[in-house]
Amino acid sequence: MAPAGGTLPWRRWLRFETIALAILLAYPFLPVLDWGIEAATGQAVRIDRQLVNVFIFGLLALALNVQVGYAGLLQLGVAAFFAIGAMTTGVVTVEKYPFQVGLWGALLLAPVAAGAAGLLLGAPTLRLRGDYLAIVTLGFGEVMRVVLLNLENITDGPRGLNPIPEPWLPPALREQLGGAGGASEGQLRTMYYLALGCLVAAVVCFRLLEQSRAGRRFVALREDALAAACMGLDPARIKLAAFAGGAALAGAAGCLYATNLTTTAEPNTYDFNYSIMVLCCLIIGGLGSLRGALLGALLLLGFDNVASPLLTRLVQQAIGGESSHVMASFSNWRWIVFGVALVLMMRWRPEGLWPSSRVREELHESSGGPA
Amino acid sequence: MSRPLLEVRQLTLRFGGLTAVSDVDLAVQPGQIAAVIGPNGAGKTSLFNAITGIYEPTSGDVLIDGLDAREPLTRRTLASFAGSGLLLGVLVLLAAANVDTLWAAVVKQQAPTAFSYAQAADDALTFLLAAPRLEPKLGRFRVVTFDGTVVLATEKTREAGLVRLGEVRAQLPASAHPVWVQARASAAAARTLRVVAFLVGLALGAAGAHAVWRRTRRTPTTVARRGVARTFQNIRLFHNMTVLENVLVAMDRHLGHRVPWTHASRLPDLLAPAALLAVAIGLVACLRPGMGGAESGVATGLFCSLGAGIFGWLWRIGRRGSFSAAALVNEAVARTEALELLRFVGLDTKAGALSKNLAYGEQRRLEIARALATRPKLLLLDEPAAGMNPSETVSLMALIRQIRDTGVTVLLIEHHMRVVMGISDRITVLVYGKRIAEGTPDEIRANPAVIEAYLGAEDASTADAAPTADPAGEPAHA
Repeated sequence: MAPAGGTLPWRRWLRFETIALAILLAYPFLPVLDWGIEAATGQAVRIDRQLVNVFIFGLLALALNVQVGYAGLLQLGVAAFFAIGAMTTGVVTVEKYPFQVGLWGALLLAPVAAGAAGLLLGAPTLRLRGDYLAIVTLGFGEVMRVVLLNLENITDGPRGLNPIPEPWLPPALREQLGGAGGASEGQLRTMYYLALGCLVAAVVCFRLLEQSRAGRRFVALREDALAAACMGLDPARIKLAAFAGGAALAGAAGCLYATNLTTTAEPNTYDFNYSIMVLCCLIIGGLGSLRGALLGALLLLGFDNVASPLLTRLVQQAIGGESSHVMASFSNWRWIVFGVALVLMMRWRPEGLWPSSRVREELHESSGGPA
Repeated sequence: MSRPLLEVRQLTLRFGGLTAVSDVDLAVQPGQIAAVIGPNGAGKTSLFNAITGIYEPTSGDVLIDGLDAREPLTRRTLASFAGSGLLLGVLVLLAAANVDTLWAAVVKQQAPTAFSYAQAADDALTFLLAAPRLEPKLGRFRVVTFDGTVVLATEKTREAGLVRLGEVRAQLPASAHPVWVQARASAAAARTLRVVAFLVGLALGAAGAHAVWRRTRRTPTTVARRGVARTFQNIRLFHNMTVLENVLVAMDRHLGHRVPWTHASRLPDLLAPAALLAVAIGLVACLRPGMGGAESGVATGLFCSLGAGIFGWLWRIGRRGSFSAAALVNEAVARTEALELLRFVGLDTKAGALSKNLAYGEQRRLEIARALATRPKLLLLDEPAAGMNPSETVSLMALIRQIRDTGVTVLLIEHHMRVVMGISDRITVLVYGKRIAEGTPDEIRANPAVIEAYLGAEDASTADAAPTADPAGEPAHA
């Protein structure tokens, strides 16, 4: 397949995504998988609740993908921008402050705040090479967490700002969404469709970006920054744009996250582990690949929030009702599973499960494949 | 003689103790083909790197079109220094003024609570009296203010602690007065601190911006944007991009952009679906009872129309495969132009191939096409004929002449004397970083210093025959 996208690859690409989108759109009303799992194991699960998290996490993974996958900047502090988005949402929506712009306003303001932070961090540091930038962003992530923890008058420290109000929806629409389930169901579905909508918008935009001049600039920069500069491209500016853009999208994801939780959560949630989790999504799915990033988010959160609790319940049921031995709890094994999965991936499939064709070419070249 | 397109004055380039280029002068007139020759390690490529901004010269100047190759200090640059100074100044000021307290005062509108040591001592006394069976930690009682900064008493027993606290309490006046006096006194100090912090931030920001600007005055980017393009001795194509994409990347600077939002082709994307949906939902909501009445109907209509507008836009760009119609047109024009360029160098049939899959000579020609795509005034070719067979070399010479005929000045480094002597108008000879000769091919061929240092007697004589053996108007592709 030709890597250069005309109209045809776009259509072909769309076919898979359209089917996936149709299933996801119908899922809250037709939770087929829930029924299936309940029929098979007798355990009630709510996958649509977890899907909201997957969408938000997927959005965050796409944000990191702009920086790491497209621009080749190893960023280890994405949780900081996520946190800035969440905190901004908290500050501009909670009742105790005079702003109260609601979710829709916050959805505009959070990316602006996070993007500005990205610009401020990126402008002086983007001239650093790979590993140095990684250390700076790692430091930024930790500093931001501590700052948010200590600005108690603004962020309420470890308590977090709450309650964050639900998004305003036209009353008619709200009733329709709630259906028989009432208000709480309506809120869940609102968040579901909101997060899905944001994710779809992001995917469409990124897909176009990959095919446009901007996408070409990113590839050229990854291939040979010096040659690109000699052709009149400005590497620093392109990197800065990617950095700020990724940060802004991470901010939007943070806004959705806080709204979904109805609190900004404790700042310690947004720690180094969180950044690494997002990076793992990308590595498992495939750096620079949209589908890969989303698949990674689905696998990681699916394992963490759906498969692992379900397995735990089944195992404990099997070994006898009430006994809850530590080793029998599947969630305690998750880091081992992630670790082993990553090691195996690095050994057998470094380009990720679902890589973009271009990145696969690049990787195989560097590992000494035929030129 | 007219003003040279490229002028290198007294250029010196040192790497530690090694002088790669030493006091070299070079002038290239517009419309010429100029060449730099010399033995391996003579500093030819270093000279190219210094011209194109990859290396910063140790001393000397490079002038393009009579102006220094470095970015000039403009009013806009000065404004950006001031801007980053102000930004950092304000950030430092905020940090110094304590954002947290400011926020509490401005947004939460909480008055700062007056802290009184007397009150603290009273509280401690009350507490101690109310808790008679308190066990000392590490054999001591310590009475500390809430923020942990002031120790009011440290005693071994509770009784001694009570006595000590009583003494302390007796020395403190009952009201909160002393604290306010202290606060007022420190307000002046705090103001000074803020001013100092702001000024330090301002200076640091401006100095930082200046340092960055100084280091980026001469970069490959800025030089390329002045109209100087180059190829590389060790081919540096974008190997995993197609031939066409390689050229398109180089055209990027000249692709049109900044299509305004009011552009005619963009309006229907936003407005058409939005307006339709707004009217429909507004009507339904107004007419149906139990849906909140007219006011809610309007709000619902506006809300849905906004959403529909956004998705209408996404849908349209999705179908077109581009963010805007104008961008799509730009892209199409660029593709035509890129194909034209590829035809010029004889690679139009390979436009879809990955550039790493091209043959060596083709890769060299693609590098030339890519450099030409930046629409340069001056094209620097670093050993364009290296690794080419004789027939490819002949067609390369024709290609370089054609490039010159389109109005692009060419400066090349080459070891093939046949090529150099055949096409150059002026030749500069470098040996050990120094310029030992400059002149027309005939002058160079006759120059005894050049013959001794570089050409050798035999080379000079074989090069004689080259110009006549070369058919002038040979087509570009072999």
